[in-house]
Amino acid sequence: MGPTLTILSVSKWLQATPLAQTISQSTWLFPTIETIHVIAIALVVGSIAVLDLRILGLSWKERSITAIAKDVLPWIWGSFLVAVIAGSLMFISAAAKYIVDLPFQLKMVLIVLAGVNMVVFHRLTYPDVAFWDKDSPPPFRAKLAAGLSLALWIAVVACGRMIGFTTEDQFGPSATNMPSQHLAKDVPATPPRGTSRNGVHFAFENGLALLNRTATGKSAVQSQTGL
Amino acid sequence: MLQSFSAWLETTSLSSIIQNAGWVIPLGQIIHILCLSIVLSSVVLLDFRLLGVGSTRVSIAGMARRFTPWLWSALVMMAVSGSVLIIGEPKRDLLNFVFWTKMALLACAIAITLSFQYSINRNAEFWDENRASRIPARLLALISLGLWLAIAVCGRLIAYFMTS
Repeated sequence: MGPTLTILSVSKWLQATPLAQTISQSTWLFPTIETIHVIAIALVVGSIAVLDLRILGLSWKERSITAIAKDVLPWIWGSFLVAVIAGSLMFISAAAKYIVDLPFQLKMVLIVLAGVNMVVFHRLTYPDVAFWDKDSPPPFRAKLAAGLSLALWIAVVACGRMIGFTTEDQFGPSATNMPSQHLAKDVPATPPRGTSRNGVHFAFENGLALLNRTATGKSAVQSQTGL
Repeated sequence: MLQSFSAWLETTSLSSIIQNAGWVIPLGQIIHILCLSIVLSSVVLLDFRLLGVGSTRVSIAGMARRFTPWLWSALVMMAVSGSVLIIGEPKRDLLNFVFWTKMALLACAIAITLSFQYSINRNAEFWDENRASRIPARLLALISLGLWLAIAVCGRLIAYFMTS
Protein backbone atom coordinates (compact mmCIF):
# COMPACT_ATOMS: atom_id res chain seq x y z
CA MET A 1 0.00 0.00 0.00
CA GLY A 2 1.55 3.31 -1.07
CA PRO A 3 1.60 6.34 1.17
CA THR A 4 -1.09 8.07 -0.88
CA LEU A 5 -3.41 5.15 -0.44
CA THR A 6 -2.68 5.07 3.26
CA ILE A 7 -3.61 8.74 3.64
CA LEU A 8 -6.77 8.13 1.69
CA SER A 9 -7.76 5.14 3.76
CA VAL A 10 -7.04 7.03 6.98
CA SER A 11 -9.28 9.82 5.65
CA LYS A 12 -12.02 7.34 4.89
CA TRP A 13 -11.69 5.87 8.35
CA LEU A 14 -11.84 9.37 9.84
CA GLN A 15 -15.02 10.33 8.05
CA ALA A 16 -16.65 7.08 9.16
CA THR A 17 -16.09 7.83 12.85
CA PRO A 18 -19.23 8.61 14.85
CA LEU A 19 -18.17 12.25 15.38
CA ALA A 20 -17.61 12.78 11.66
CA GLN A 21 -20.89 11.08 10.84
CA THR A 22 -22.73 13.26 13.33
CA ILE A 23 -21.36 16.38 11.64
CA SER A 24 -21.95 15.26 8.07
CA GLN A 25 -25.48 14.09 8.75
CA SER A 26 -26.63 17.14 10.63
CA THR A 27 -28.12 20.04 8.71
CA TRP A 28 -26.95 22.71 11.12
CA LEU A 29 -23.65 21.44 12.59
CA PHE A 30 -21.49 22.04 9.53
CA PRO A 31 -22.72 25.60 8.89
CA THR A 32 -22.29 26.41 12.58
CA ILE A 33 -18.74 25.04 12.74
CA GLU A 34 -17.92 26.76 9.46
CA THR A 35 -19.16 30.12 10.79
CA ILE A 36 -16.99 29.71 13.90
CA HIS A 37 -14.04 28.78 11.65
CA VAL A 38 -14.48 31.90 9.50
CA ILE A 39 -14.73 34.24 12.49
CA ALA A 40 -11.71 32.60 14.15
CA ILE A 41 -9.53 32.73 11.04
CA ALA A 42 -10.54 36.36 10.50
CA LEU A 43 -9.31 37.16 14.02
CA VAL A 44 -6.08 35.17 13.49
CA VAL A 45 -5.23 36.99 10.27
CA GLY A 46 -6.39 40.40 11.48
CA SER A 47 -4.40 40.30 14.72
CA ILE A 48 -1.30 38.89 12.99
CA ALA A 49 -1.63 41.78 10.53
CA VAL A 50 -1.59 44.32 13.39
CA LEU A 51 1.85 43.02 14.41
CA ASP A 52 3.17 42.50 10.88
CA LEU A 53 2.11 45.98 9.76
CA ARG A 54 3.87 47.47 12.77
CA ILE A 55 7.10 45.59 12.01
CA LEU A 56 6.83 46.73 8.39
CA GLY A 57 6.54 50.29 9.70
CA LEU A 58 3.10 50.79 8.18
CA SER A 59 1.01 51.43 11.27
CA TRP A 60 1.03 52.23 14.99
CA LYS A 61 4.64 53.42 14.95
CA GLU A 62 4.16 55.31 18.22
CA ARG A 63 3.90 51.98 20.09
CA SER A 64 6.73 49.54 20.69
CA ILE A 65 6.69 46.20 18.87
CA THR A 66 6.92 44.22 22.12
CA ALA A 67 3.93 46.05 23.61
CA ILE A 68 1.83 45.33 20.52
CA ALA A 69 3.00 41.70 20.50
CA LYS A 70 1.97 41.35 24.14
CA ASP A 71 -1.52 42.64 23.34
CA VAL A 72 -2.21 40.68 20.17
CA LEU A 73 -0.47 37.35 20.83
CA PRO A 74 -3.24 35.99 23.08
CA TRP A 75 -5.74 36.82 20.32
CA ILE A 76 -3.57 35.21 17.65
CA TRP A 77 -3.09 31.95 19.57
CA GLY A 78 -6.57 31.84 21.06
CA SER A 79 -8.32 32.27 17.72
CA PHE A 80 -5.83 29.99 15.97
CA LEU A 81 -6.74 27.23 18.41
CA VAL A 82 -10.45 27.75 17.75
CA ALA A 83 -9.86 27.85 13.98
CA VAL A 84 -7.86 24.60 14.11
CA ILE A 85 -10.49 22.79 16.18
CA ALA A 86 -13.36 23.99 13.98
CA GLY A 87 -11.32 23.29 10.83
CA SER A 88 -10.49 19.76 11.98
CA LEU A 89 -14.15 19.05 12.63
CA MET A 90 -15.04 20.30 9.14
CA PHE A 91 -12.21 18.20 7.71
CA ILE A 92 -13.20 14.92 9.31
CA SER A 93 -16.83 15.37 8.22
CA ALA A 94 -15.68 14.58 4.66
CA ALA A 95 -11.96 13.84 5.01
CA ALA A 96 -11.57 11.84 1.81
CA LYS A 97 -13.09 14.70 -0.17
CA TYR A 98 -10.83 17.38 1.31
CA ILE A 99 -7.59 15.40 1.38
CA VAL A 100 -7.54 15.21 -2.43
CA ASP A 101 -8.55 18.85 -2.90
CA LEU A 102 -5.73 21.04 -4.21
CA PRO A 103 -6.65 24.28 -2.38
CA PHE A 104 -6.95 22.27 0.85
CA GLN A 105 -3.52 20.69 0.35
CA LEU A 106 -2.04 24.08 -0.52
CA LYS A 107 -3.64 25.65 2.54
CA MET A 108 -2.05 23.06 4.83
CA VAL A 109 1.38 23.61 3.21
CA LEU A 110 1.00 27.39 3.58
CA ILE A 111 0.09 27.08 7.27
CA VAL A 112 3.21 24.97 7.83
CA LEU A 113 5.30 27.57 5.95
CA ALA A 114 3.80 30.35 8.07
CA GLY A 115 4.75 28.33 11.14
CA VAL A 116 8.32 27.83 9.91
CA ASN A 117 8.57 31.54 9.14
CA MET A 118 7.38 32.34 12.64
CA VAL A 119 9.84 29.97 14.32
CA VAL A 120 12.76 31.30 12.25
CA PHE A 121 11.75 34.87 13.10
CA HIS A 122 11.43 34.02 16.77
CA ARG A 123 14.79 32.21 16.96
CA LEU A 124 16.98 34.41 14.76
CA THR A 125 15.44 37.86 14.60
CA TYR A 126 13.27 38.55 17.61
CA PRO A 127 15.98 38.06 20.30
CA ASP A 128 17.49 41.48 19.49
CA VAL A 129 14.12 43.24 19.27
CA ALA A 130 15.27 45.66 21.99
CA PHE A 131 17.41 47.43 19.40
CA TRP A 132 14.50 48.14 17.07
CA ASP A 133 11.54 47.93 19.41
CA LYS A 134 10.37 51.49 19.08
CA ASP A 135 12.71 54.24 18.03
CA SER A 136 14.76 52.70 15.24
CA PRO A 137 13.28 50.86 12.26
CA PRO A 138 13.37 47.04 12.33
CA PRO A 139 16.13 45.35 10.29
CA PHE A 140 15.43 43.93 6.85
CA ARG A 141 15.22 40.34 8.14
CA ALA A 142 12.39 41.40 10.49
CA LYS A 143 10.53 43.17 7.70
CA LEU A 144 11.03 40.18 5.43
CA ALA A 145 9.50 37.87 8.04
CA ALA A 146 6.55 40.25 8.56
CA GLY A 147 5.96 40.58 4.82
CA LEU A 148 6.15 36.81 4.36
CA SER A 149 3.78 36.27 7.25
CA LEU A 150 1.20 38.67 5.78
CA ALA A 151 1.47 37.14 2.32
CA LEU A 152 1.25 33.57 3.64
CA TRP A 153 -1.82 34.24 5.78
CA ILE A 154 -3.59 36.08 2.96
CA ALA A 155 -2.89 33.03 0.79
CA VAL A 156 -4.20 30.73 3.54
CA VAL A 157 -7.50 32.64 3.55
CA ALA A 158 -7.66 32.58 -0.26
CA CYS A 159 -7.08 28.82 -0.36
CA GLY A 160 -9.58 28.31 2.43
CA ARG A 161 -12.27 30.08 0.45
CA MET A 162 -11.32 28.18 -2.72
CA ILE A 163 -11.96 24.86 -0.96
CA GLY A 164 -15.63 25.79 -1.10
CA PHE A 165 -15.42 26.23 -4.86
CA THR A 166 -13.45 23.10 -5.66
CA THR A 167 -15.06 20.47 -3.46
CA GLU A 168 -18.49 19.15 -4.09
CA ASP A 169 -20.30 19.96 -0.91
CA GLN A 170 -23.47 18.07 -0.41
CA PHE A 171 -25.15 21.31 0.34
CA GLY A 172 -24.33 24.86 1.23
CA PRO A 173 -21.99 27.45 -0.15
CA SER A 174 -20.03 25.64 -2.80
CA ALA A 175 -23.13 23.98 -4.11
CA THR A 176 -24.97 27.24 -4.39
CA ASN A 177 -22.39 29.79 -5.38
CA MET A 178 -19.99 27.82 -7.49
CA PRO A 179 -19.86 29.03 -11.06
CA SER A 180 -20.21 26.00 -13.29
CA GLN A 181 -16.81 26.50 -14.89
CA HIS A 182 -15.26 26.15 -11.47
CA LEU A 183 -16.34 22.59 -11.01
CA ALA A 184 -13.24 20.78 -9.92
CA LYS A 185 -12.01 18.60 -12.68
CA ASP A 186 -9.06 17.31 -10.71
CA VAL A 187 -11.13 16.00 -7.86
CA PRO A 188 -11.96 12.32 -8.24
CA ALA A 189 -15.66 11.73 -8.03
CA THR A 190 -16.56 10.36 -4.64
CA PRO A 191 -19.09 7.57 -4.61
CA PRO A 192 -22.60 8.51 -3.51
CA ARG A 193 -22.76 8.30 0.22
CA GLY A 194 -26.21 6.95 0.51
CA THR A 195 -26.67 9.32 3.39
CA SER A 196 -29.24 12.01 3.28
CA ARG A 197 -29.83 15.47 4.54
CA ASN A 198 -33.37 16.45 5.30
CA GLY A 199 -34.36 13.08 3.94
CA VAL A 200 -33.34 14.08 0.45
CA HIS A 201 -31.01 11.75 -1.34
CA PHE A 202 -28.10 13.65 -2.75
CA ALA A 203 -27.63 12.38 -6.24
CA PHE A 204 -25.30 15.33 -6.70
CA GLU A 205 -22.12 13.35 -6.54
CA ASN A 206 -23.04 10.77 -9.13
CA GLY A 207 -22.23 13.14 -11.94
CA LEU A 208 -25.66 13.21 -13.49
CA ALA A 209 -26.75 16.14 -11.43
CA LEU A 210 -23.42 17.73 -12.12
CA LEU A 211 -24.01 17.54 -15.85
CA ASN A 212 -27.52 18.77 -15.41
CA ARG A 213 -26.28 21.72 -13.44
CA THR A 214 -23.64 22.63 -15.95
CA ALA A 215 -26.28 22.58 -18.65
CA THR A 216 -28.93 24.60 -16.85
CA GLY A 217 -26.66 26.73 -14.71
CA LYS A 218 -28.76 25.85 -11.73
CA SER A 219 -27.60 23.97 -8.70
CA ALA A 220 -29.09 20.52 -8.48
CA VAL A 221 -28.74 20.52 -4.74
CA GLN A 222 -30.34 23.89 -4.54
CA SER A 223 -33.35 22.79 -6.51
CA GLN A 224 -33.61 19.60 -4.50
CA THR A 225 -33.33 21.05 -1.06
CA GLY A 226 -34.26 24.67 -1.44
CA LEU A 227 -31.06 25.66 0.31
CA MET B 1 -40.43 44.61 -6.28
CA LEU B 2 -37.19 43.01 -5.08
CA GLN B 3 -38.08 40.03 -7.21
CA SER B 4 -38.29 42.10 -10.37
CA PHE B 5 -35.31 44.24 -9.42
CA SER B 6 -33.05 41.25 -8.90
CA ALA B 7 -34.39 39.64 -12.06
CA TRP B 8 -33.53 42.84 -13.94
CA LEU B 9 -30.13 43.16 -12.27
CA GLU B 10 -29.34 39.63 -13.34
CA THR B 11 -29.91 40.55 -17.00
CA THR B 12 -27.64 43.61 -16.98
CA SER B 13 -24.40 43.37 -18.90
CA LEU B 14 -22.35 44.01 -15.74
CA SER B 15 -23.99 41.03 -14.09
CA SER B 16 -23.36 38.76 -17.05
CA ILE B 17 -19.72 39.85 -17.19
CA ILE B 18 -19.36 38.78 -13.54
CA GLN B 19 -21.26 35.55 -14.13
CA ASN B 20 -19.24 34.64 -17.21
CA ALA B 21 -15.84 35.42 -15.76
CA GLY B 22 -15.73 32.55 -13.30
CA TRP B 23 -12.93 34.08 -11.23
CA VAL B 24 -14.72 37.29 -10.22
CA ILE B 25 -17.00 35.77 -7.58
CA PRO B 26 -14.32 33.68 -5.83
CA LEU B 27 -11.94 36.67 -5.86
CA GLY B 28 -14.70 38.97 -4.59
CA GLN B 29 -15.39 36.57 -1.73
CA ILE B 30 -11.69 36.28 -0.84
CA ILE B 31 -11.34 40.09 -0.71
CA HIS B 32 -14.56 40.27 1.31
CA ILE B 33 -13.22 37.79 3.91
CA LEU B 34 -9.80 39.47 4.12
CA CYS B 35 -11.50 42.81 4.78
CA LEU B 36 -13.72 41.08 7.34
CA SER B 37 -10.56 40.06 9.17
CA ILE B 38 -9.51 43.72 9.38
CA VAL B 39 -12.98 44.81 10.54
CA LEU B 40 -13.44 42.06 13.13
CA SER B 41 -9.95 42.37 14.58
CA SER B 42 -10.23 46.16 14.82
CA VAL B 43 -13.63 45.91 16.48
CA VAL B 44 -12.56 43.16 18.88
CA LEU B 45 -9.35 44.91 19.99
CA LEU B 46 -11.15 48.24 20.37
CA ASP B 47 -14.16 46.80 22.18
CA PHE B 48 -12.05 44.73 24.57
CA ARG B 49 -10.10 47.86 25.37
CA LEU B 50 -13.45 49.51 26.22
CA LEU B 51 -14.20 46.50 28.42
CA GLY B 52 -10.89 47.11 30.15
CA VAL B 53 -9.19 43.97 28.84
CA GLY B 54 -5.85 44.06 27.01
CA SER B 55 -4.02 47.04 25.50
CA THR B 56 -4.82 48.99 28.67
CA ARG B 57 -1.54 50.88 28.39
CA VAL B 58 -3.01 52.61 25.34
CA SER B 59 -5.69 55.24 25.88
CA ILE B 60 -9.14 54.54 24.46
CA ALA B 61 -8.65 57.56 22.21
CA GLY B 62 -5.32 56.10 21.06
CA MET B 63 -6.95 52.77 20.23
CA ALA B 64 -9.70 54.58 18.30
CA ARG B 65 -7.05 56.55 16.37
CA ARG B 66 -5.24 53.34 15.43
CA PHE B 67 -8.23 51.18 14.50
CA THR B 68 -11.12 53.30 13.21
CA PRO B 69 -9.40 54.38 9.96
CA TRP B 70 -8.67 50.71 9.16
CA LEU B 71 -12.20 49.77 10.13
CA TRP B 72 -13.80 52.31 7.77
CA SER B 73 -11.42 51.59 4.88
CA ALA B 74 -12.02 47.85 5.16
CA LEU B 75 -15.78 48.44 5.38
CA VAL B 76 -15.70 50.48 2.16
CA MET B 77 -13.83 47.64 0.46
CA MET B 78 -16.37 45.18 1.84
CA ALA B 79 -19.17 47.30 0.41
CA VAL B 80 -17.46 47.32 -2.99
CA SER B 81 -16.67 43.59 -3.05
CA GLY B 82 -20.10 42.82 -1.59
CA SER B 83 -21.78 44.86 -4.33
CA VAL B 84 -19.88 42.92 -6.98
CA LEU B 85 -21.12 39.67 -5.42
CA ILE B 86 -24.71 40.99 -5.35
CA ILE B 87 -24.58 42.13 -8.99
CA GLY B 88 -23.18 38.74 -10.00
CA GLU B 89 -25.82 36.76 -8.11
CA PRO B 90 -28.64 39.20 -7.22
CA LYS B 91 -31.23 36.63 -6.18
CA ARG B 92 -28.82 34.90 -3.83
CA ASP B 93 -28.75 38.02 -1.63
CA LEU B 94 -31.65 40.32 -2.41
CA LEU B 95 -34.27 37.60 -1.99
CA ASN B 96 -32.68 36.30 1.18
CA PHE B 97 -33.91 37.29 4.63
CA VAL B 98 -30.49 36.53 6.16
CA PHE B 99 -28.95 39.13 3.84
CA TRP B 100 -31.49 41.77 4.92
CA THR B 101 -30.97 40.87 8.57
CA LYS B 102 -27.26 41.39 7.98
CA MET B 103 -27.90 44.79 6.39
CA ALA B 104 -30.12 45.89 9.29
CA LEU B 105 -27.49 44.81 11.83
CA LEU B 106 -24.81 46.54 9.77
CA ALA B 107 -26.78 49.80 9.84
CA CYS B 108 -27.00 49.57 13.65
CA ALA B 109 -23.29 48.71 13.98
CA ILE B 110 -22.25 51.62 11.76
CA ALA B 111 -24.51 54.01 13.68
CA ILE B 112 -23.07 52.90 17.01
CA THR B 113 -19.46 53.06 15.81
CA LEU B 114 -19.98 56.50 14.26
CA SER B 115 -21.56 57.92 17.40
CA PHE B 116 -18.73 56.50 19.54
CA GLN B 117 -16.17 58.05 17.20
CA TYR B 118 -18.01 61.37 17.22
CA SER B 119 -18.09 61.34 20.99
CA ILE B 120 -14.42 60.47 21.36
CA ASN B 121 -13.40 63.18 18.90
CA ARG B 122 -15.30 65.74 20.92
CA ASN B 123 -14.52 64.56 24.40
CA ALA B 124 -11.69 62.04 24.69
CA GLU B 125 -11.27 62.68 28.41
CA PHE B 126 -14.77 61.43 29.11
CA TRP B 127 -13.84 57.99 27.82
CA ASP B 128 -10.34 57.84 29.24
CA GLU B 129 -10.35 59.65 32.54
CA ASN B 130 -13.92 59.92 33.70
CA ARG B 131 -15.06 57.04 35.87
CA ALA B 132 -18.64 57.80 34.88
CA SER B 133 -17.87 56.47 31.40
CA ARG B 134 -17.08 52.96 32.59
CA ILE B 135 -20.56 51.53 32.43
CA PRO B 136 -21.53 53.16 29.12
CA ALA B 137 -18.16 52.08 27.68
CA ARG B 138 -18.75 48.46 28.63
CA LEU B 139 -22.32 48.50 27.43
CA LEU B 140 -21.24 50.03 24.14
CA ALA B 141 -18.48 47.45 23.73
CA LEU B 142 -20.82 44.52 24.37
CA ILE B 143 -23.48 45.81 21.96
CA SER B 144 -20.86 46.52 19.31
CA LEU B 145 -19.23 43.09 19.68
CA GLY B 146 -22.60 41.38 19.50
CA LEU B 147 -23.62 43.31 16.40
CA TRP B 148 -20.39 42.74 14.44
CA LEU B 149 -20.28 39.05 15.31
CA ALA B 150 -23.91 38.67 14.27
CA ILE B 151 -23.08 40.41 10.98
CA ALA B 152 -20.27 37.90 10.32
CA VAL B 153 -22.57 35.00 11.21
CA CYS B 154 -25.28 36.26 8.84
CA GLY B 155 -22.66 36.75 6.14
CA ARG B 156 -21.65 33.11 6.30
CA LEU B 157 -25.21 31.87 6.56
CA ILE B 158 -26.50 33.72 3.48
CA ALA B 159 -25.33 30.75 1.41
CA TYR B 160 -27.42 28.36 3.50
CA PHE B 161 -30.69 30.28 3.34
CA MET B 162 -31.19 30.86 -0.33
CA THR B 163 -34.81 30.89 -1.35
CA SER B 164 -34.43 31.28 -5.06
